[in-house]
Amino acid sequence: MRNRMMLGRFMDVGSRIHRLDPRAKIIALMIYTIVVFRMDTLREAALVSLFSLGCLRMTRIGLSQYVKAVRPLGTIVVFIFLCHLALDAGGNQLWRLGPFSVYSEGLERGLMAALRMIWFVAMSAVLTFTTPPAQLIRGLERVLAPLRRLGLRPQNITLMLMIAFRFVPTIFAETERILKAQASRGFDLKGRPWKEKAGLFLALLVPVTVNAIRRGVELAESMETRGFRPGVRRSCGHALIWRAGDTAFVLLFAVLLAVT
Amino acid sequence: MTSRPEPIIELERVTYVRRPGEAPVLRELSLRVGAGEWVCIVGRNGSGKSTLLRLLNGLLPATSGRIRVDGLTLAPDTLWEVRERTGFLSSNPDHQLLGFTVADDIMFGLENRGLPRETIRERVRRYAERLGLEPLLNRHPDQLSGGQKQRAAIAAVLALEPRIVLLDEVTSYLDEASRREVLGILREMKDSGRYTIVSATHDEEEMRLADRLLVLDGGTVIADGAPRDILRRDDLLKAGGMRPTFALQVCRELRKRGVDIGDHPDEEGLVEALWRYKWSTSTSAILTGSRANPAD
Amino acid sequence: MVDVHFRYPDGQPGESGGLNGVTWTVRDGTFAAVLGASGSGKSTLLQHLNGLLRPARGEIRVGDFRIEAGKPFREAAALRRRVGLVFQFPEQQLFAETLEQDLGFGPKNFGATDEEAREAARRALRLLGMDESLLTAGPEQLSDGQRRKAAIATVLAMDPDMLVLDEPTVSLDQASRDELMRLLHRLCKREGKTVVVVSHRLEEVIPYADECLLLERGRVRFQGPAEALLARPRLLEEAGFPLPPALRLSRLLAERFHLREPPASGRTGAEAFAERLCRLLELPAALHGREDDGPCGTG
Repeated sequence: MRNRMMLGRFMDVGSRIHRLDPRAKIIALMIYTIVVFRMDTLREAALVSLFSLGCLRMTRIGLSQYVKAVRPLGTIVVFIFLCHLALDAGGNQLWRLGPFSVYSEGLERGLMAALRMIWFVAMSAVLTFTTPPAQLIRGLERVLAPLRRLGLRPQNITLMLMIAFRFVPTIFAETERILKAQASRGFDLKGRPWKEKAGLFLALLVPVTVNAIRRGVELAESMETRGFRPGVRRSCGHALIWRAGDTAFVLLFAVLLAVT
Repeated sequence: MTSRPEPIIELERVTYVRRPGEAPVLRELSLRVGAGEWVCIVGRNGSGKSTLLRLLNGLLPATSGRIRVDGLTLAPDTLWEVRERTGFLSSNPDHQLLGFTVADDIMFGLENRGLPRETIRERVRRYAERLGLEPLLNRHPDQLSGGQKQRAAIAAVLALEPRIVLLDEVTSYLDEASRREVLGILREMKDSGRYTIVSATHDEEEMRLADRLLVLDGGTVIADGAPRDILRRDDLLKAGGMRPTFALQVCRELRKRGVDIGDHPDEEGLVEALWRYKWSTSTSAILTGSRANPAD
Repeated sequence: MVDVHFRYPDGQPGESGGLNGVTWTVRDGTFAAVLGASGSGKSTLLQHLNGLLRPARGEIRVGDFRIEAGKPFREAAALRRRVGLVFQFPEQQLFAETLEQDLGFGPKNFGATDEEAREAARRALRLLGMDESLLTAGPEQLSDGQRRKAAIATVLAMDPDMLVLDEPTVSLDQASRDELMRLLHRLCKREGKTVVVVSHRLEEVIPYADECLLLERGRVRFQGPAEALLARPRLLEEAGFPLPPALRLSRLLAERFHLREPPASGRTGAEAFAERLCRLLELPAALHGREDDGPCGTG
């Protein structure tokens, strides 16, 4: 469980997509998002699906991994699909089930909604599976850099993200430990009325939160003593080199946008 | 007559109160540390050791008094310069590394300084090597042992090449092997002559490695001298929350039985003193033959 | 009757912290020390003792409870009442506003009434030498040493027959460490509880331990009485443990004075040690005042 929650779970397989500049992948994903939410007709859906499938194959990571990434959404996707089926009335009536009728448009829209979500998650997974988290964060920082003109501080935002994600597995391990410690004192959620359960959760929540805050304070000390000043420009130890392949990659997505 | 060299750290009647109305944690404390010295601060939990360290690099603001670090008077406008010259390490290995990998973490401080990429790369390489971290550079901190994490934290601080290093109980959370690792690094740091070290600790071995031992009690310095001298005094040990070593206890017991070899907190010292005692008393017994045998 | 008997419980062998064929017996009412470096499996071992982890092979018997590999174990709750497990840094699990509430948490989970819980809280504090007035205090108001003791008290409040502690003294100052170990020893000898302490500091536990278990990479390297362990200094050194000071001093003296056997074992106290020294080395008393006496003024 801990592994699943790490920032996307980077898998070092060494495909061409792995070697792309993270900025290219992020920009491509941004373009892709527009594509996916604009897609309207079955023809467009088919094109996008084929394109996306191609990308997935290029990463040389097994399709089963992508399925795993999408699975948590399973219930929502099915639910929305069924909603469209049941409530969308337009086009030809296809069949009846008691008071509910299913129309062709409903089917189409349902399919479209489902595909949108599935492909969006799958392509995000491409980003996180093929980019080491540190690179990803730095790429994001550079891509968001122009926002500085609007008065925002992308460096701080990305630093925040980096620290948050870096500690996700740590906090999970800690929660497990506190759970075991309280269980050793008889803490057991089973067979208790709901009212009590809520109170008992404090036994878990308070220690983990207090520790997280304490850690935050000590980390802040460590950061400050190492010269971190919010607002002051920092240099970058990692080189992000943009190559021709990166431009090509982004252009591919631009083309996709144009034809849909 | 030569004048004393300017101390690299100087506290002049520094007081620190956590919240108005509370008793001060540090009371009119004055202290001078010379460049290259290793000063160890001991005291019970709550005696003000950690506070003292955090005053030295401005993590906590002194309520009154003056602090000078490396020629700079600590003030809001000199704060960041002072921090460039001091490094700080705390006791919990889990709360200091924020990068996704060890390399990232070492880079963090260097990036904060705005150093050029080549310099950053070079320093990461150099300090990783010096601290034996090369095989661990790409690991996530959660995959490291306590000792390895502390080593990584030390590398991250040393890479910034501070002149002064402040350590807050850095071996407290570590097991025996890790503790020895870290103490070894501290010893090397001291021997290199490049660093002035101020460390707070409970660890006796660490205390004996230092040049100077400072005992804090109730917010003031109640003793300041060579570790050897301080560690043999019961009253200071008690005030500092320490207990006499076994060797020291044996010396006391021997004295109760009429054998006075002095006070030796370390085992080697005891053995040597005992040897000399045995020799000198045997010799005198031989020389003053008649006195030892009254029957004659 | 609390008796722990292991027979080949295996965690995931080879993985750091797993157990591989550990067989161990602890008798009721003894003070046992589990020694090992990190990754040796000592924490894993502890978690088997109260059912948090189940063995992959073999079985564990604690009192009347029996945990067998491959079979479901449904009495975990009852077991946890009898075996109080105190994790490392137990003060992190304090969550209630007052100590009284936190201390009452354990007993109440096992069905105690408010009055019973309060009494259990008072008793637990007393056992650890803490004043009852602390019941109304919150955890932030306590000193580090007090917080550690309070956290241990929260487990004691359940009145377990066996108390298992994972590195209870880590990060405390020397005086607090000594005090805690003495209290734990008292709990064992006076209250009759079986106490198991996991430690990486040999010298801390050796004065009190009846039984020692030395783990290395999930295997048992030594099992037996403390004296037997101290009689094998090479084993201790190999396992990475510094010898207890009494033993170190013994060896140095034996070398220097060419004694045939070292003056003391690792458990000798300072007084007895000094006494033996005087006798063994025939130390003449100080020249002024005592010369007519025999060695060390004993006449």
